[in-house]
Amino acid sequence: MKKQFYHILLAGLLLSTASKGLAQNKPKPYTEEDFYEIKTIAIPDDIRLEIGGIAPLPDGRVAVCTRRGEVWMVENPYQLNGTKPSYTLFASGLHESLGLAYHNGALYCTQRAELTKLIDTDADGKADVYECVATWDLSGNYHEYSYGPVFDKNGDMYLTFNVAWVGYGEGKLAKWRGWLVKIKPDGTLEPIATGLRSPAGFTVNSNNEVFYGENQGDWVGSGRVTHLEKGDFAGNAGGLYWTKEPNSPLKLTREDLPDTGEPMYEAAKKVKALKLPAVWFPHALMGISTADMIEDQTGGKFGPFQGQYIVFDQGQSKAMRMSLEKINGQYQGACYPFRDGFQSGTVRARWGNDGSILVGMTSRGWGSTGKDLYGFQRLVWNGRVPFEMKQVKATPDGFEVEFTQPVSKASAENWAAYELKSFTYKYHHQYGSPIINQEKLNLKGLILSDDRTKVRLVLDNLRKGYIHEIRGTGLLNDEGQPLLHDVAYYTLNNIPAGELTKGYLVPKATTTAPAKTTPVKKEATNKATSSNDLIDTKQVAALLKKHACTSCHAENTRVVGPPFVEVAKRNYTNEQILELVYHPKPENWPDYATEMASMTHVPKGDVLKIAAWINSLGKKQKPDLNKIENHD
Amino acid sequence: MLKKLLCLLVPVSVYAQTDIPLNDLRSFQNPSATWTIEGQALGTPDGEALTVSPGKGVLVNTLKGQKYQRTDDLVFGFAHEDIRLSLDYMIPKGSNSGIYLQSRYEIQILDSWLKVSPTDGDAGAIYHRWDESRGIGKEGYEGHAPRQNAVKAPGLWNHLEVDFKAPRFDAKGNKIANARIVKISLNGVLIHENIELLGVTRGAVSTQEVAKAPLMIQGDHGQVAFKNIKYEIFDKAPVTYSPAKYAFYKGKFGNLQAGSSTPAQTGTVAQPSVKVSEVKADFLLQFEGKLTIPETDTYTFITNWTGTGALLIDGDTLTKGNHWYSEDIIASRKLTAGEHPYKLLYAKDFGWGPRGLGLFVERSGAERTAITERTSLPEPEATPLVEIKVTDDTKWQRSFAMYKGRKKTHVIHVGMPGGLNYSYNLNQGSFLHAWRGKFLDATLMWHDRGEPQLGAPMGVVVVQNNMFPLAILPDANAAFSDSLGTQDLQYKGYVLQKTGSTTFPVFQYNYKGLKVKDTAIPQANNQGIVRKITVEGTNANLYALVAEGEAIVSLGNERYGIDNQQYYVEILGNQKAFIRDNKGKKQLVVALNNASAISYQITF
Repeated sequence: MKKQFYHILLAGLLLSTASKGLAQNKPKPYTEEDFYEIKTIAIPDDIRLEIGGIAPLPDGRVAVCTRRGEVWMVENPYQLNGTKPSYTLFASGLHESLGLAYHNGALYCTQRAELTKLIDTDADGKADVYECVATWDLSGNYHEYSYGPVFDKNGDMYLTFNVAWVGYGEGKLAKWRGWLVKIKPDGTLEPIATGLRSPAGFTVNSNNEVFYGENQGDWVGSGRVTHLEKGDFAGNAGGLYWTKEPNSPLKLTREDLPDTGEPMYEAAKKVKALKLPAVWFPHALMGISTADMIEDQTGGKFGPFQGQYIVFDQGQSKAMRMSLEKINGQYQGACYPFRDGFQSGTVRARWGNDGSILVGMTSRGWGSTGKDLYGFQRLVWNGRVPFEMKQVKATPDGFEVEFTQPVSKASAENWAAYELKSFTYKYHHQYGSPIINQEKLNLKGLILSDDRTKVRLVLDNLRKGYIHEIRGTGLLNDEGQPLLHDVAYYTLNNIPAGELTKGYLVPKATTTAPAKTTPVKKEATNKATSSNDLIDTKQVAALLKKHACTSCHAENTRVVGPPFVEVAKRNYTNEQILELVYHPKPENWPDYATEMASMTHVPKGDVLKIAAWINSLGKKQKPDLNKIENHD
Repeated sequence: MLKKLLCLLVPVSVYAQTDIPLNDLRSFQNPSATWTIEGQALGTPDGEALTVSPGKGVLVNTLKGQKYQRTDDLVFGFAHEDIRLSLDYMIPKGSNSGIYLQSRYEIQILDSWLKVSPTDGDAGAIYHRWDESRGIGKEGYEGHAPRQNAVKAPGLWNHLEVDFKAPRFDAKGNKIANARIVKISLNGVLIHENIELLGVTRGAVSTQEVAKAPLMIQGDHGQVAFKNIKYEIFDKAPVTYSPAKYAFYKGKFGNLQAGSSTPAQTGTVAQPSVKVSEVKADFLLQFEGKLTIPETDTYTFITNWTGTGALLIDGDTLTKGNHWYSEDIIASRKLTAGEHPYKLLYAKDFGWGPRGLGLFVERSGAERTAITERTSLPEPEATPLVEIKVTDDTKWQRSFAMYKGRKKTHVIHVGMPGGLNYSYNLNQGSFLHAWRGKFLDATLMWHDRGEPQLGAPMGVVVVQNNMFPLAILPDANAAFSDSLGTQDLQYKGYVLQKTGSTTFPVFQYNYKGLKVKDTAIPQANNQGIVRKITVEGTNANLYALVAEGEAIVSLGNERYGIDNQQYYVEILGNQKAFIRDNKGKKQLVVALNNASAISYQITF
C-alpha cells in the first residue's frame, strides 16, 4: 500500500516536471489559485454561520458574529494539523449583528440598535454580561443596518449607519442614519460624516484614517471607496436631514445638491462638502456591492502588496485590490481584480494572525456568485508572485504602471499591448448610473524603466474626476506569461504637478491604436445578425469576459443574473437582446434580487455577437431523451 | 419600496357575525335548569367553582345541587351547515365541557392547564371517535390533539374560534364530502387547520352524519361559562356574474383613463384576469361585466392589485388607489336585487413586483364569490417556518416586535424552560407580552432578507402595559409616565444569572439616579411568570405599577383578576397593592415605602 503510494507520488513528480518543461515553449496561463489559495474553514452542520463580523483573537482563536445574532468562538480556525476547527457559542440572541471587534480582552459587537460589550466574567467561555455601550433610535425599516465597531488608535469606535429604504434612501426616519459616527468608550456619540448609503465595509488604516466602501444606489452611480474626514458629505442625500442638529459637523442641506446627472466631480465644484471617492469600483466591471476592506500591513506575509487594500464584493463573492496615493492632499488611486471564487457573499474580512485573510460570508436575501447561503474561508498567499500591475500612479501627463515582475521589452513597447479609455458616472437621485462620457485615451508615448518593472504612459487627454481604464492585455513577462489581471481603473481626482515626461518612445503614425476598432465593429454587426453564420465561441467568451458579463451570468447556471440558456428560451431577436442590454428590464426577471445595470458603453457589434451566441444556445437545448432516461 | 410597507398589513376579515343574545335563554332548545344567564363569572386558578353575580351577558352552567346528566346538554335554536363560530369560555379547576358542531363533532373544553403534551382528550382537541368493537382500551380513535396546549388557567376567559365545513350529501343521501375543520384557534393560537372529520366523535347525539343540525354545548360534565357567542352561517344566495368584456392598452395610465387611446387587445372572458395579456408593466386593463345580486342587501367588495386600480359599481367608484396585491381594499354598498354593471380598472406602470388583480364579493351569510379568475392573483410564496425553540435552558432573542399594532425596535424575547415566555422593551424597561407555549416565530426576521425583522410569540399571549414599573411620585394619585426619555431612564444592558441550572437575564437600568434590576423567572410549577424588581438605594416616594387594564378585580390574598379575567396578578411578599383610576383605566399600584424590592406573579 505504502509502496504504491510512493509510485503514484513519483509519477506525479515526473508529470509536473514534464509540464514545466513544456511550459518553456508555450506556457499554460496561470490562474488566481496558483498564487492565492482559498481555504475553507469547516462549519459544523447545525450552525448557520451567516457571518456579519469577524474578530481574530491574539491567542489564535477567531470570534465571528452572525445575522442570526450569535457569536461563535472558533478554535483552530487555521486547521494547522489538518483537523476540524471547534465552535463554541459565546453569545446569542443579538439582533442581526453585522460587526465584531476584540479590544482589551473584550468583544464589542454592533446590533441593529445597540453597541454591546460582551464580557465573560466567570471564565466559562460564554459571555454573561451584555453591556449596553451605546444605543440609538431605529424606525423599524429593515434597511437601517448598523455596522462596526472599528477601533481607532485612541480606543474610540467608529460605526456606520445605513439609510432606510422607502423606494429611495431615507435618513430622516431615525437619527444619524446615513452617517459615520464615533462612539467613545463611555457611550458618547459624535457624528463625523454623512452621505453614506449602504456602508457595509469600512476600515481605520495604519494612519488612523477612515475609508469606507459604498454600494451603487441612489446618488451613487457605482461602487466606490471614499476617505471620510470630519464634516465630509459622501454623496447620498438621505443623511442630510440631521445636519440641522447642533452637533452636526456640516450644515449642508438636500436643497444645496445639484440633481442634474452631471459627473460627481462637477457637482463637487458647487458643493464644498461633497467628498469625491478616492477610488471608483466600476459597477459590474469590478464588483456590484462593495463590502469590507482591509489594509495590507502584513509586511510581506500576504505577498507583494504591502500598504495596499484588499476590498471585497458581496454580490460577486470576490476580493479586489486597491492602491492609494495622496495628490494635492487628497487620496486617489486605482482598483484591480484580485481573486474570485469565494463560496458565498463576501461581506466581512479581517487579517488572521498568520497574514492570511479571514473571509466571512452570507448571501441570504441578497444573492451572490458564490452559491452557498453562508461561508467562512481564508485567502492565503502561497509564496509565488503573480505577474500583476502592482500599482498605477498618476504622473503630470499620464500614468506610471509598476509591475510585480519585469515586463518583456518587446511586449511593453508594442503599442497594441495597451487599451486605454476614460469614463465616469452621473450624480443624481436616481438609482445607479450608466457609464457616461466614455472616451479613448490617446497614448502619445511610453518609457520602459531600465529594470523593466515600470512603464510610464504619456497621454494627452487626461480628464479630472474620471475613471481611467488601463488595460495591458498584450503585456508579457520573461516567461511569456500575460498579466494575471490585465486591467486597472484609476480615479484621477487630481493631476500631480511636476515635470512632464521627456524622451519617451512615440508610436509610428501607421500603428496608432485607436483606429483599429471601427472597421471590426461594422464587420461584426453584419456578421452577427446573419443567422447562418457560424458563431465564434472563443471570441464570444473573450467578449463576455472583457465586458464583465461573466461577473453576473454563466452559460448554464444561475449566478447573480439568469443563465444565458434561460435568456435564450425567451426567444428574443438579437436586436431585442441589444435593446435589453442597453436598457435592462428587471421586471422580466422578478426572481433575481440584483437588477442589471445599463451597459450602453459596450459596442453594439460586441453585443450583437453575444446575442447571436445566446440565441444559438436556445437551439442546442432540445432535450436529449437518452440522458433524461438515465438520470437518477 | 411600497412592497416593504404593505407586506406588513394583515388582511382584514370582512364577514359579519351574528350575536347570540345572552339576555335570556330563548336562543336555546329546552335548556335544563342548570343553565342560567348571569352578569359576571369569576374564578381562581385553584377554585373548583365559579362565582357568579346577577346580570346579563354570561351563560353559565352550574351544578346547583343536582347531578349532571345528558339532558343538561344545551342545544342551540338554529341548525347549521357550514359555520364560523367564536366565543369566550371559562371553567373552574378540573371542569369539562365541549362544543359539538352539528351536535356531532366535539371540540373539547377541559381544564388541561399546565399539561405539557396535550392529547386528543385535552382542551382544544377534536375529540376522538368511539367504537367498542375495536376492543377494550382501543375504543377511541381518529381524535386530534391540538398542535400545542393553548388553554389558560381555570377562572380566566378563553377565546375560541372555529371555522367548520359541514359534510356534503348527494340527492340520494350518500356522503360525498367529509365534514372539515377549516381552522380552530384557541386564545389566538392556531391549533388545527384543514382536518377532515371521517365521522362523528364520541358523545355525538347520533352516529348518523347529516347536512344540517344545531350546535350543542356539553352540559353534563361540569361547570362552564360562556360569553360573546357569535356565529356566521351560509344559508343565503351568493352573488353571481356573467362573462366580462375587456380592453387592454399599452402605455402608462396612472390615472386609469384610457382617453382616446386604442386598445392593443380586446375580448370577452369568463372571469377577469391579468393573464389576458403577457405584458408585465406599462399597461391599462379595463374589465366590464355584470353582477347578479340575489337579494337586496349590503355587499362587501374586496379588491386587490399591485399598482393602481379602481372598482366601479353602477358607475360609482367603490375602491381606488395605489396598493400592493396582498392588501385588501374593502368597500361595502347596499345593492338592490337584479343586475348591476361593474367596471374593474388596473394599471401598472413600474416593472418590479408581480402583477395581480383580484375582485371578491362577500355578503353576510353567503359564500364569498371570486369574480376574478384564480390565477389573476399570485400564489402565496411557500415560506418555511423559522422557529426558535427553547430546549434545556433559557433562550433570548432580540428583534423588532409588533405591540398593539405598532412596531417596537428595541425588543428582547425571553423563552424559559417550562414553556413560559415574555417580550421586553429594552428602551422602557417594560413588559410587552407574556405568553405560554412555543417560543418565537423568527420567519419574518430570518427568511430571505427578513424585511419586517419581526419576532412573534407562538403561544397564548397576555398583553402587558409597556410602562417602566417604577416611578417617584409626589403622592399616591400621581400618574406614571407612559414613556420615559433617556434623561430619566438609561438602559445599561443585562447580566445572565443562574438560578439552579437555568440562566435568566437580569436587566439593568439607571432610573433618576437609582440603580434598578429587573428579572423574571417561572413560578415553580410554571403557573406563571414571577417578576422581581430590585432597587439599589431607597426612595420614600417610590411606587410600582403592577398592572393596568379596563377592569381589575380583587380575588383576595393579594391576588387580582386583570382586564376581565384575562390573567391574574399576585403580589408576592408582604406588600399590599391598591387599585386606582387613571385616565379611564384601572391601575394596580404598590407603594414601596422605602422597600428595595417588589415581586409579583403573572398567572395565566
